[in-house]
Amino acid sequence: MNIQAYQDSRVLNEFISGISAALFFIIEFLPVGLLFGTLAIDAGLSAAETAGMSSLVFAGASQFLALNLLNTGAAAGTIILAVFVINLRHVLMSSFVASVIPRCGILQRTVTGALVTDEGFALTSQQSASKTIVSPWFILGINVSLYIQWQLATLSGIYLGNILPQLQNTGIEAILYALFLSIMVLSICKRTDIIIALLAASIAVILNLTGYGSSAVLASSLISSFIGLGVYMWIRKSGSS
Amino acid sequence: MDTKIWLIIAGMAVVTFIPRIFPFFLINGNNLPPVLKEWLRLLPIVIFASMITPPLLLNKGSINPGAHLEEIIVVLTAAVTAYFTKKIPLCLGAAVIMVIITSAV
Repeated sequence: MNIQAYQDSRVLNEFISGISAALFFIIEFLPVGLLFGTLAIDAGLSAAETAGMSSLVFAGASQFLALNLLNTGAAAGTIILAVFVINLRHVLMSSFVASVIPRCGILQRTVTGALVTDEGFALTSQQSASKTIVSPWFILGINVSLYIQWQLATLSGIYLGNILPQLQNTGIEAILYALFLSIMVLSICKRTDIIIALLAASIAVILNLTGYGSSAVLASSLISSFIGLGVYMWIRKSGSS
Repeated sequence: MDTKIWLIIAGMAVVTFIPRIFPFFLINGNNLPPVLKEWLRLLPIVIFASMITPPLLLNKGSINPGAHLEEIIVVLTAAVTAYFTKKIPLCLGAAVIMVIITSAV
């Protein structure tokens, strides 16, 4: 096999394993997308607008937020600003994803980053816990898989929302959180990490209690990771002197 | 009405796309300073901690873990499994079994 063919087959393998790794999330995306499609039609959006939102935005929490605000008659600017605030957490997730792929061109990086989600980030960090470098094709596979799932689920909500019973959500949320926490446990490798995690959890709870829920993930992640970095630099400095 | 919705969708698309791709312009390759690497290493830990704790502990604007007792049991079971086995599929299996048990009780 020549080198080119070898590389092509590896690219394809990575892409396919990304697609299959993300298939698990159908247990979340199907009920949630179904609900989104149904609620959007109920809110008065057309089928094209609903499908358009899922395919152009591809962000569950933002789309539900937009529906809520549309129902209350909010101005366009308010909705877009609210969506921006809730999406700022993706800056952190994308930073992480960008740091685990090898050096590559701007086109490939844009394509890899374009569809970053909480779930894709979770799979990427799980993968990077065992490998130091993750193939961008693996990540693209994850993202394409999740994207297609989300579109199909939205479409079923649009056209079958009034026929299909809404799937029971009980248990799915718990399994999703269980996955996220398990990945978090695998990412912990120092004792101080546990303290940083508890700190992040506490700050997020306080921000939610004080009405800053929409920016809680971003703010508490930033604050606690910088404190963690401070501890790291302090230990490194006192260790070397 | 129609144009307004499409304008909102376009605006949402832009403000979702920018935070997603912006870091890819700053970070290219794994050859990063150790301090930045350490910060990035902490991100999955702090992000997941911030994401899952509020919905598990809070109920109607106050701290009430009792309202999510089943979920907390499921999540902690997975965490313990992760700690001992280091295998995500086993964690998911344990979580699913716990969901079945807690919903049957």
